[in-house]
Amino acid sequence: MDPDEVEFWAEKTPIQIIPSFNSQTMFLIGGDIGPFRASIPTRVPLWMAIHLKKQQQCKIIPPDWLDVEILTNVKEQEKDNKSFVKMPSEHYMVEAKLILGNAADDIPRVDEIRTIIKDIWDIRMSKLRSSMDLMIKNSSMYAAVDNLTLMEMNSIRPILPNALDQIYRMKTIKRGLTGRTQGTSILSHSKSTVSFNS
Amino acid sequence: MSYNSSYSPNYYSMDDILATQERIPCKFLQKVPRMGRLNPSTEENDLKEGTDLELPLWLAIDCSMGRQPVVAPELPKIFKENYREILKADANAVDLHKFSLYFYELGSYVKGFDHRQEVHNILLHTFITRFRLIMDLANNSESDPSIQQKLDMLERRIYAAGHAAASKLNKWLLESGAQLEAAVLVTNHKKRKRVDDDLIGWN
Amino acid sequence: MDDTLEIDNLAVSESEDELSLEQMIEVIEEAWLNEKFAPEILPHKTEIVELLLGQITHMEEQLQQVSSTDFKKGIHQMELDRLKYLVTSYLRMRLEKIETFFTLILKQEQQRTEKNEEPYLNPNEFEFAQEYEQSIKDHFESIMSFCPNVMDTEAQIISPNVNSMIILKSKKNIEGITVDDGNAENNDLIDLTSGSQILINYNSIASLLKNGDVHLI
Repeated sequence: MDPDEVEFWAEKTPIQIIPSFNSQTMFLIGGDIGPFRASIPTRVPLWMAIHLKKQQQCKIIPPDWLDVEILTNVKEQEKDNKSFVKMPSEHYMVEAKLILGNAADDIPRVDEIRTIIKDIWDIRMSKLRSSMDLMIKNSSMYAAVDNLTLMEMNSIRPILPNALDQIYRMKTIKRGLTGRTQGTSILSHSKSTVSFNS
Repeated sequence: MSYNSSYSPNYYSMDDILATQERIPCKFLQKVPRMGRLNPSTEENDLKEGTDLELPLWLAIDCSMGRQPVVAPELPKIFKENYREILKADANAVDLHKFSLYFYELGSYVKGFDHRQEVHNILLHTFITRFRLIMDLANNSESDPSIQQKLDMLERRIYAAGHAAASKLNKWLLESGAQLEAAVLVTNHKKRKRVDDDLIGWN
Repeated sequence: MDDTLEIDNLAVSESEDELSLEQMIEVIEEAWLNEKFAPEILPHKTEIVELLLGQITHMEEQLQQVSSTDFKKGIHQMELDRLKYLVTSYLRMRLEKIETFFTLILKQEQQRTEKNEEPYLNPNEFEFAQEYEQSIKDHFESIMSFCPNVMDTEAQIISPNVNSMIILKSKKNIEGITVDDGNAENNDLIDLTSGSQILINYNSIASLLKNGDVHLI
């Protein structure tokens, strides 16, 4: 999966905006949105919020967790815990990227937030690397990944599953005399159709 | 394929065809008439019983099957004890590419010749030990490209897939107007080591 | 702001057991993820795909009558683009699998027919698979005429690696999944609670996936 695809999934996340326009309910295929009343907060999918923000038709109300105190607390927990802490949002990285990137003027203490999120991501990436290494060392063939977000799971692909696939193959192939690939089967096949005797 | 790039050989795998081209030592158990020219060290017309020759794996395997096998294949030297000891001592220091382009694939084919499972074990040991090396290489865009040369073809595949994914992720992190990330994957090594050492953490 | 734009969705029958449009989108989103990560082709979702495509066409027709200065047109267009991407990408992944594993897939479809089981391919995909197989055969016959029956051996069938590792999310509590870890004996048994995520071998959970008890992520 590409990071852009993860972003696509995350863009469904609902978010609050304050529209600067009036409009009736919109009947989207995925559900009704609105009605929009100027200055009255309403809930829309993230992709729509970013679209409206780019056209300067709304302010984005940051999700509760996009806040220096809350994120600092998450970071401390992440540092103190050996395993992965549950993130305040399933798509925290994508949401942060899109909101901070497009609506920095709607977010208080935006530079501090950027730094903390980067720190959290780095700590978790570092844990992921050691976890991957440990999993391979133990040749563990399953692992709970409960508190990983989709972007984080994506960061271990394809290298971890590929390496585990190869370990599984090495454990299970009883080759030697029973290969099923061209190298070992072409002759046994050819014997019935072509004669090598001179 | 986009949805799954893990190597799993099939009839048309070039890597498998090339792996089975590797030559392995064989001893002829029977006289083979008119095949003397396979042995460059003799002018004789027939290939004598007891001749030692290196044959490509695909041929060696086929000729060693059946009730009256023509040849007895032996382990290539890279899977014999001396070489296994080198891998056991420090698999990370080894230029596996020099051992064989297809170290793991060849090993998987010939491990059947070794009844004590030593080859089976050394394949797993080598792969497992070297994983960290491959992972760090894939994640670190500034690493020395010559290290790549020391990987066998299976390891290179994993490296290449991992590196491509890491580059995409890094690009995604960097492209945000927010400058959310600066080269996450090339963070300070000392700092990273310290955090890693604290962890045993897979729940 | 222009408030005159009125766009509605096709009437979808409202009976209890039918899915809402929103639920249909969710079904296809899940199917997209499953198809993305499962090594083998999964049962098709054609009914829902076609309902969604009908909805998309209907919306596109309505949008043609909307002035392009209306900002809401842009939002509808974005939603359509997202849905079209979802559906076409899903169908393309299936075609890619069919092109790679056509012999095996056709064989398994035949076995399903013999056992009176639901097919995995929809009729269009099945036709595509058959034509694809025929053109590969024709091609091999024309270039490999010196070696007859070149497409006949069992060894030439390309199969997906059903032992590859995947990540799943459980939709309910499940007890006693046997983990195939490559060692024949002492396989671990694991239990999953609803919502838990686990990295595991596809083969160990393929039937749970097809039952809809878990989905891939």
